[in-house]
Amino acid sequence: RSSDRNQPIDISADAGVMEQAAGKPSIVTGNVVITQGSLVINSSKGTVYSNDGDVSRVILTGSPVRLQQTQDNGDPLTVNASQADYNLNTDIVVLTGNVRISQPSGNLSAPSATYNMSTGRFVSQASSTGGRVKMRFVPKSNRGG
Amino acid sequence: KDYDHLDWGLCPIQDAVPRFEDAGRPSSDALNRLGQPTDIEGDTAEGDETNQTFSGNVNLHRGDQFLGTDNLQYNDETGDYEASGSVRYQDSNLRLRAAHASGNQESDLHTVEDLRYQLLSRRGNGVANKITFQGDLGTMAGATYSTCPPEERRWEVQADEIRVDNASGFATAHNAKLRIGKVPVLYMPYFKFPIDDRRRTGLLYPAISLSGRNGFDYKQPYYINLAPNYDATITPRLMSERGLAVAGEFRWLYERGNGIVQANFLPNDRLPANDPDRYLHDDNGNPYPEPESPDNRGMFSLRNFHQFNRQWWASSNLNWVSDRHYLEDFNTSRYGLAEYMVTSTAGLYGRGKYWSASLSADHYQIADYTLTEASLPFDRLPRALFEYNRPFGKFETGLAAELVNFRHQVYDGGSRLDVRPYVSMPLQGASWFVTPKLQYRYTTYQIDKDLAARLGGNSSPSRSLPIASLDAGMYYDRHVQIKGVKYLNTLEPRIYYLYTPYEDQSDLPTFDTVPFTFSWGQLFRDNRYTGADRQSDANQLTTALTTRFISEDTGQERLSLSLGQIRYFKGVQVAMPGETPLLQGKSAYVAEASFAPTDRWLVNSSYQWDPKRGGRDLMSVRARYLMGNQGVVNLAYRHRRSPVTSEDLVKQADFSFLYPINPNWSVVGRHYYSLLDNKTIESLAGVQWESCCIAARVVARRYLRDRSGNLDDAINFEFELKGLGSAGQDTRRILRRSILGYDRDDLYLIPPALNDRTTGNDAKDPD
Amino acid sequence: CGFKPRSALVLPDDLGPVLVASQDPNSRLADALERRLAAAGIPLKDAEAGSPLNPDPRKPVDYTGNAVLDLKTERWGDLPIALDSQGRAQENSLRYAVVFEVRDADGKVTLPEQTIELSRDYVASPTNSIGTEGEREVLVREMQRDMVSSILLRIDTVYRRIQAESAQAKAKP
Repeated sequence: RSSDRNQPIDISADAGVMEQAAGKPSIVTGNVVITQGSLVINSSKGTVYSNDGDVSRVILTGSPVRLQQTQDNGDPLTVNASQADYNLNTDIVVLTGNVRISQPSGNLSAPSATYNMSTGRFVSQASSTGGRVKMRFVPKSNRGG
Repeated sequence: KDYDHLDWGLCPIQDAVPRFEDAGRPSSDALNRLGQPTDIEGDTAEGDETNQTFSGNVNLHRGDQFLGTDNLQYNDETGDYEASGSVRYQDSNLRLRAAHASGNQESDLHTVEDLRYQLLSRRGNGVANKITFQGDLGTMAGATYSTCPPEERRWEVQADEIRVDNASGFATAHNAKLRIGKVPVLYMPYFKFPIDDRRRTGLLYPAISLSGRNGFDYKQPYYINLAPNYDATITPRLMSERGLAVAGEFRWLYERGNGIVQANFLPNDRLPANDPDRYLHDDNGNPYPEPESPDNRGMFSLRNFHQFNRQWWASSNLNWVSDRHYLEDFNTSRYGLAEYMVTSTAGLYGRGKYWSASLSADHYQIADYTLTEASLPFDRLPRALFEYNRPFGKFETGLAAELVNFRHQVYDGGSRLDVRPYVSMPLQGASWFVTPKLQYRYTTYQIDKDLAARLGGNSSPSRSLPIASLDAGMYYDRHVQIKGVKYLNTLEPRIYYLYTPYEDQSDLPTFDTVPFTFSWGQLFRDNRYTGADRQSDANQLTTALTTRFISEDTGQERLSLSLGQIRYFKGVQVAMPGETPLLQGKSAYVAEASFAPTDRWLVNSSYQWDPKRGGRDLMSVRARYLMGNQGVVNLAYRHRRSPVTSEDLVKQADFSFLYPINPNWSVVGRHYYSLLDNKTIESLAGVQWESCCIAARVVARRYLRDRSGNLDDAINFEFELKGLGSAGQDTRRILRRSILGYDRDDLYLIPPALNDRTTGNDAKDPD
Repeated sequence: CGFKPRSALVLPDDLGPVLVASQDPNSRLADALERRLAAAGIPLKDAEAGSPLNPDPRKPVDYTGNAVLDLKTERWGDLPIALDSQGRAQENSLRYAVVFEVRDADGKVTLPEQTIELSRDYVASPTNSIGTEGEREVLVREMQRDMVSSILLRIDTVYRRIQAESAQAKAKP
């Protein structure tokens, strides 16, 4: 939900290397779980940029990175990608590597996509190697829970 | 009358709007496409949760719908979409290419501008400024329609608006102009035409024709699909020279039987007024017997069949025409003027393991204005038949009994009982059979007084005499090979001895009896007459031989030759009034041959030569050659001499052909000449041109217009816009009648294409 | 000259009892065929039990379970072959066509569907049509007897070839 933005961010992982020096990212690896309100992100490695406690950017990789969030209308949203680059200031996530966005009203698959968490806008491109953007819309009559 | 299915064989394989290969297989049919998910695929996609924009070779699939476009806006909430840039759309009804399309997937409403379309069911295609369609209904503005391919636009309908209804299978054009080639030919404010072959409630294929007798003749059948097992067709028919006729047909099928009722009614037909003396005398002035001047014209026919149980069933075939000019004025009969009476039969029939029985009634109505009731057969009101035969060890016994009450409009009637008990010993092996048979025929009458007076005064004459016969035959086979094809060659000698004593039968009436046509079958019959009124005396022996060549792999008979003759050991004394009795000695030789070396060739001939009187009694040859899959040539010669009076009855030659010069051009012709009266019975010559979507026929014809026997010349011209309708007389029906095989299906009693089980058996077993 | 008396009609013994089925429940042809097959010693299965009273042509009856000689369609037709000078038919050709097929017990077609058509000509003088109906009735009976022999001869010829071929096939090592 949009209210997630002002919730605290918790990051847990098997191992982590914290760096205090500005500009140097801290790396967390192994079963990384980031939660912020209804947003839950699972990945296998996370590179977190922050200066004095304020996280500005997180790069997550995984096979795949899974992002789950409950939208304002209560529908669950799931996003999978092999890498997610989440810039908290612009609130834009750049997803690459067979991206799949699915929600009850339909799903999208594309080689890469950028997703604006606050406006819900996304832009996805076919890759040069022919991977196409595919979306499926399920008619209202038989949309699941 | 079933649809005559249209032959698109001459059309290019490629449709006006060819199939879109990337459309893939539809995931559902049109009906439940709304329940299907919508899959959209493109190079790039952009948007938020509800509004998406795809671009770059975008494809949309839903159920049977496919939409290809350069870019597409789609709102998932409202279902609205907007497609632009080389739009391609396809569903189970039509296919189109356009510049721009928009619509709503939820309500399945689509609007396309500046398009070229193709209807899938019947090659109908064209262009339109705009089309809006929803489900099965579409409306095209500023549209053209034709079944011709774009590059060969032989004819086209241009209309401000064409409404297409794929559910009913019809399209309606408003202020339409029909153009043939470049020439606008017809303006029609409102014009409805079929766009597919399916039969459903609605207007059927209109038939428009022009003729001197009927004037402008417009038949518009309306088919009513009342229920799965009964339906009806109502056909109003406007004839500008004669008035408005209505024809109706009602068919029903139920668990125990089926039936069909047909009727046609034309109140105060103006034809007799337009041409009164046509009904009073022939062209040479001699008056017709019992002239009539009919005004209300009509016909009625009921055919039905009901199965009571495993043994008993009832069937009827009742027919009535209003007057004796009806068949000619409405030329309904398939064989043109050949029919001259209308028969009605109804009866109860039964059959068991050893018996069969029937109680039926027949009535004949004269339907030919040059004949009178006198030439009609006797009505049989009623006729009871009973047959019983039962094997007893080597023997077989039984009897055949017939009780008939004969009535006639002109002659005196009477009733007759004919009983024929018999015993026979049918011995048979695989290669032989011997059947001695002893019958005793007892026949008695109750005849009206004055008929009895004319026949010697006895009003209940009778006759009883024994009939002995021996039928024996052998079957020999051998395997031969001719030109590499293996044949089973059979040799079948057969003899038939018949002995019946003479009894004077001059006091017996002749209700239903005439001599049989002398033929191969006559060699093995126990009576020379068709009915019980005369039982010919006989002391004769038939010797006959048949040989067949049967192809071993198909089992088809490629050649059969038969020769037979009767030797009369004593002159026959029984004769019909006015018939000269048969002399002692040999009968005519009967030879029959049927030769079908390949499926294309068929030659049938029969020949009878009478050694006593010298000369031929019958010489008939019928040859038929099939060319390609459409061409046919028929050649027939028939000379029949009366076996009694030796005067020629028939001497005719008939040559007819349909010769396809190339897939588009073909010529037809017929010359049917009577050498006896050296007069042409029919001759015609015609040229046909046919292409993918248009056919034109010009046929010049000299034919027997009416009973007076003089000929009429007619030039028939027909223009057929395939899929739209035809203008001009229906020359196809005339050609099918004149040239046997013009329509390949007529060659066979059961056309190969039709002989699946659904055709059932419409001609009930007649006896 | 090589002619030998015809040997008995023999159907493959694995065919089992034959059921003569007909589209028309009252078909005389079916009865006559049953009598001739029985006389030739072929075991028969009574068709009465199975077939419905008035088989709906659109729904073919399922006879699997027995070998079937299926008389699919019988049809009669009159074709005028000579017109008199007034154009009236004075000679007709009575045509009789039967479409039949033989299937074995599990429904496999052993004799493909084929048609036999017979025809006989008879004079029918328009001015005196007394007796024409009588002649036609006699022709109908005679053509039904001929049809029985033609069908049996066709079955005999084709089965003889099938058996000869299968015997040959077995004979090859």
